[in-house]
Amino acid sequence: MEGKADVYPFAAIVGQDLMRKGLLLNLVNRKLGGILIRGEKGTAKSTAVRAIADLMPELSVVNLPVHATEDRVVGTLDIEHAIREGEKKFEPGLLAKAHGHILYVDEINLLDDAIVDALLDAAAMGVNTVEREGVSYSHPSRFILIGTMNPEEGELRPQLLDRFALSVEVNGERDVESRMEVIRRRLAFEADPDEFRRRYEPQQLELRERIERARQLLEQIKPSEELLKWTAAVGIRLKVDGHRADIMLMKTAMAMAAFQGRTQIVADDMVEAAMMVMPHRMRKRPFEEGAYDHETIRELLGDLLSEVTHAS
Amino acid sequence: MQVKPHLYPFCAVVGQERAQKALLLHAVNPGLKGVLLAGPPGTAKSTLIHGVTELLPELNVINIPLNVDEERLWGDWDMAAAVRSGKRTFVPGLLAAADGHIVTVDNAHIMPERLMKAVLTAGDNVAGEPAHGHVRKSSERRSGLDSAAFRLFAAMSPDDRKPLPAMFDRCGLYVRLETSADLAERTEIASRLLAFKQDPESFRLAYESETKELRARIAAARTRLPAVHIDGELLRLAAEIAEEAGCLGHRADILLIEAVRTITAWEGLSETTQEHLQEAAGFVLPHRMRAASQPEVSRGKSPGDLPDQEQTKHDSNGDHPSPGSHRDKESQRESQAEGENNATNGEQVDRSQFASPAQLGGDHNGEADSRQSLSSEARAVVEAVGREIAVQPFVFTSPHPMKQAQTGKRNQASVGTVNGRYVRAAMPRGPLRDIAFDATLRMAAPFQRIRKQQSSSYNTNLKLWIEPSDVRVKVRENKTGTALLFVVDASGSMNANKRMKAVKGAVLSLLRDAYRQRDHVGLIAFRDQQAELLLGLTRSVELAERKLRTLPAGGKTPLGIGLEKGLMAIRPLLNRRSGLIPAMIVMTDGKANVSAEAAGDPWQESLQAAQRIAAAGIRTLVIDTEDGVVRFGYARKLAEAMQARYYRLEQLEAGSIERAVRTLI
Repeated sequence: MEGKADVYPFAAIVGQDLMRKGLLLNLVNRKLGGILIRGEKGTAKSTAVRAIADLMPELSVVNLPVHATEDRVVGTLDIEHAIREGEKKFEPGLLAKAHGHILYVDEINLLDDAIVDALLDAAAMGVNTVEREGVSYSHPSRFILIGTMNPEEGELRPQLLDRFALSVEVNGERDVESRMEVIRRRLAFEADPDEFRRRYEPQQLELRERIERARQLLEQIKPSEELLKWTAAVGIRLKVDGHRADIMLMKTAMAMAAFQGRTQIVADDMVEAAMMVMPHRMRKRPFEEGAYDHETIRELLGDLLSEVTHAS
Repeated sequence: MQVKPHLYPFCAVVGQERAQKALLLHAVNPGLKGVLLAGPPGTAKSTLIHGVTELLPELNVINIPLNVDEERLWGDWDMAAAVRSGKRTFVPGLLAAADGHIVTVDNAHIMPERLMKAVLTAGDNVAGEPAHGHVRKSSERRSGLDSAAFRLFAAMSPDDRKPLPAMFDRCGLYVRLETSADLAERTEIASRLLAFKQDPESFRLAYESETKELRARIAAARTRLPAVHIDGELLRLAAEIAEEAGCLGHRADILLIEAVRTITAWEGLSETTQEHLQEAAGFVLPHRMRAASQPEVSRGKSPGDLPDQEQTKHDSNGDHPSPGSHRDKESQRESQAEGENNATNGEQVDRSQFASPAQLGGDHNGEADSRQSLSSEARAVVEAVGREIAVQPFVFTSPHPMKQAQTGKRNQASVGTVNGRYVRAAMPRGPLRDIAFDATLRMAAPFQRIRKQQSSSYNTNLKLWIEPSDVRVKVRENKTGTALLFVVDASGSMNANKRMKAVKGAVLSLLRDAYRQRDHVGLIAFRDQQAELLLGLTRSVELAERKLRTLPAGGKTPLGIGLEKGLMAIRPLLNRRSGLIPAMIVMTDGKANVSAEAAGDPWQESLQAAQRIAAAGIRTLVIDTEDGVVRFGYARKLAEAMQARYYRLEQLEAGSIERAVRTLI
C-alpha cells in the first residue's frame, strides 16, 4: 500500500461540483458503474481521482497506463515461478489488482483497442477470464472504473462509453475569484502538505461520515414502481441506446438522495442524475448533430419532472 | 481457478422475444448451426446467449474471451509435464472440448479477425450432422481441414466495427435487437434487473419453474422434430424465397427448411404452414442477402449498417423508423432529406460565424489582396453537406513496413511492435525483444532432463535450463493507422452547380469510414489567398466533421499554397517513427489562380508542389471536381505530376471509391 501523505485532500478541491459529486456517488454506491471525466488538461482530474481514494482509506487506485500491454492488464504466465519451479502459475494483472478498488485510466480515449476490449470483457461480466499463454484462469474483477479524457484528442468507442454510469465535463474555473483560490490552496499545499492536510482533516472526516451515512441510507431506499416508470420514460424520451441507462439513472438518483441524507427521491435528484447519466448515451454515433447540454435535458424532461414529486 | 457469475434467467428477459425464439429453436435443433445477436449495447445480448446455456444443462459451455491466443484455442504442449517427465504431452485447447457443446463469444465484432476465423472454421460443418467434427489433436497442427460441430452463440454491436462475413455465414439464425420504446416494457426490464442485482439467488428461484417448463418444452419439441415433414409445395416456396433473396449457395435453403421444421416442432404441430416459413425467413435470410444485393443496398448508407437495412419488415430501420416503407429507396430519400435539413440549419449558423472578413482576410495585408478578399467574402457561401456515398473499406500499405505501428484498423502490421495483441509466438528475427516466455519455456521443457545431466557441474538450483535456441518472441497483431489528410479546394469555382455540397458529402463519407477504421484524419481547406489547416491530424473525426460542415467556399484558388500546406502537415509523419501511414486526398478542379509569390505562376507553382509531394513518397489521390461541358483537365495533370490516383467526383458517387483508394497500394 502506498503512503497517501502527499495527496491533495478531496475537501480542498475548488469548484468542479459535478465531477466531485459524480466521484462521491461512486463511493456511496460502489457498484454504480464508474465515471468518465471529460475535459482539457489541468482541470484537477487526476488530483480528484487520487483524492477520492485518499478519502476512503480502504480503497486504492490502480493505475492503468495508456501504454499498458494486454498481458499486464489481463494477467499472464508467472515466468519466475515457471523458471524456479517448472510449473505454470497465473500472474494476475491489473484487472485482478483493481478488484474491489478503483481502476483509473488516464486518457482512456487513447488506449489500445486490445486493452479497451479487455476492459469491456471484464466490465460486462465482473469476471476476468484469461485463456492465453498456456494459462486458463478466471477471477472476479469488479472495480470502480474512472476514466479521464480530453475529447479533442479523439472520442471513446460507443461501447466503452456505455459502460460508464456517469460522465461529466470539466472546464477550468471561469470565475477569477475561484481561480485565485485554486492557486492559493495549491501553493499552501505545496509549501507544507502535512499542515495543509491537517487543516482539512475535519472536513475530510465529515465527508467520510457523510458517505458512510449515505451508504446506510441507500440500503433503505426502495425504488417505487412509479419511479422506475419515470426513468424508463426519460430513457425513451431522450432516445438512449439500450436499457442500461434506465437502471443507471435510477441507481444514480438513489445514491444522490442518500448522499443528501434522504430516503425519498425528489425531482432535483432526478435532474442531477440525468445530467450525469444521459448526455454520453444520447449521441448514438460520433457524428450526429446536437451535443446535449444540461439545459436541454432540463427542457426535455420538463413535464416529466413534475411527475417525480408524485412518484416518490 | 474458474469463477462463475450468477446468470440472469433466460425467461426473465423482457421484450426480446425474437432473440429468445431464435435461441430456443437452436436449443431444439443444433442443425441450425448458430445464433448471432446484433444490437446496440445494453439490449441483453450477452444475457441471452449465456442464459440459454442454462436450458441445455447437459452441454458444456465454452466462453471464448477476447484475450485468447492461438495456443489456448487449439491446444498446446504441457510445459510443466514436459519438465517433470521429459516428454511432450498435449493439452487440448478450448475448441477440442467444444465438439457437440456450446461456444459463446460475447463481443464477436471485436474479436481479432484471425482468431474469429479460426473459431468459425473449426465449427464449420454440414448442417444437421453435429457429431462428426473433430478438432486437431495431434502434433499435425495447422495442417488439413479441421472441424468441430458446436453450437455457436455470438453477440455483437454492429455499429462499432465491420463484422466478418464468415460470421454471418456460420450462424444459421440472426436477430437484430432494438432498444424498447414501450414504457411498460421498459419499466419491467429495469425493475427485474434491479431485483436480480439485489438478490440474484431468490430472483433465480422465482423463475425456476418457468425455466423448467422451457426445458420440458425444448425436450418435447426435440422428440417431435424428426416427425415434422415438409411437403413439396413448401419446399419449393423455400427455395424460391432463398433464390429471390439472392442467397449464395444452398446453405440458406437448407437452413430455412431446418428452421421451418423446428418452428413447427416448437409450436407443437406436425404440419408446417406458410406463416412458419415466413417466420423462419426472418431469422435465416436477413444476414445472408448481403452478397447478391450489395450494389443497390449499399447506396446512401454505410456498409456497417448493411444487416439492419436488409431486415424484413418487422424491424425498424435504424435511427429513423419508417413505418410501412421498408424499401431502400424510401429510406434513402428520407436520410437524404434529413441530411439536407441538418445542412440548412448549419448554413445559417455558419454564415453568421464566417461573416467577419477579419477572420478570413488572414495574413495577406496587401491592399489589392484585402480588397479582393472582401469582395470574395461577399460571395463566400457555406455549402451544405451533400448526399453521402458508400465507402468500402480501403487499404493503404505502409511505405515503411517495419516501423512501429499506432493503432488503427485499416492496415495490419505484425512483428516488431510491443503494442497490440499477442497472438502467437515465433522464432526471433533480428534483435531480441518482447520475448514470449510461455513459448520459450515450452520449447525448453522437453530438454530439461538431458540438459541437467549434461551440465551437472553448474548451478543445480536451477529448475529450468534455457538455451538460445529455445527463445521465442511474441507476434502481436496490431493495426497500423492511416493518417488521411484531406486537402479541399474551397474556392469560388466550387460553388458552381453545388459542387461543394457534393465534395462535403464525399469527405463526410470518407470520414465516417475513417472513424470505423480508427484512422487519424486532418483537414486543410484552401480558398482565396491562403490555405488553412482546419484540423491537424487527430483521431477526433467528430471535430473534422464539425469543421467540414462550417467550411465556407468562395474566392480564388491558391492551389499551390494548399498543396504545400498539405505536404508540411504530413511530412513529420514520414520522418518520425509515427507508425502512421500518411495519405493525402486532394479535392480540386485544379484551376489555380493565386500564387504564393508576388509574380509567380499559380499553375507552375502547383505543379512543383505536386512534384515535391510525389518525391516525398506520399500516397495521394486526386479527386477532380471539375464540372460542365467544357473541361480543362487541370486536375488530371496535377494528378500526373503528383503521381496520384485520379478520379472524378462523379465516379465516386457511382460507388467506385473503394476501388479508387484500393489501387493506391
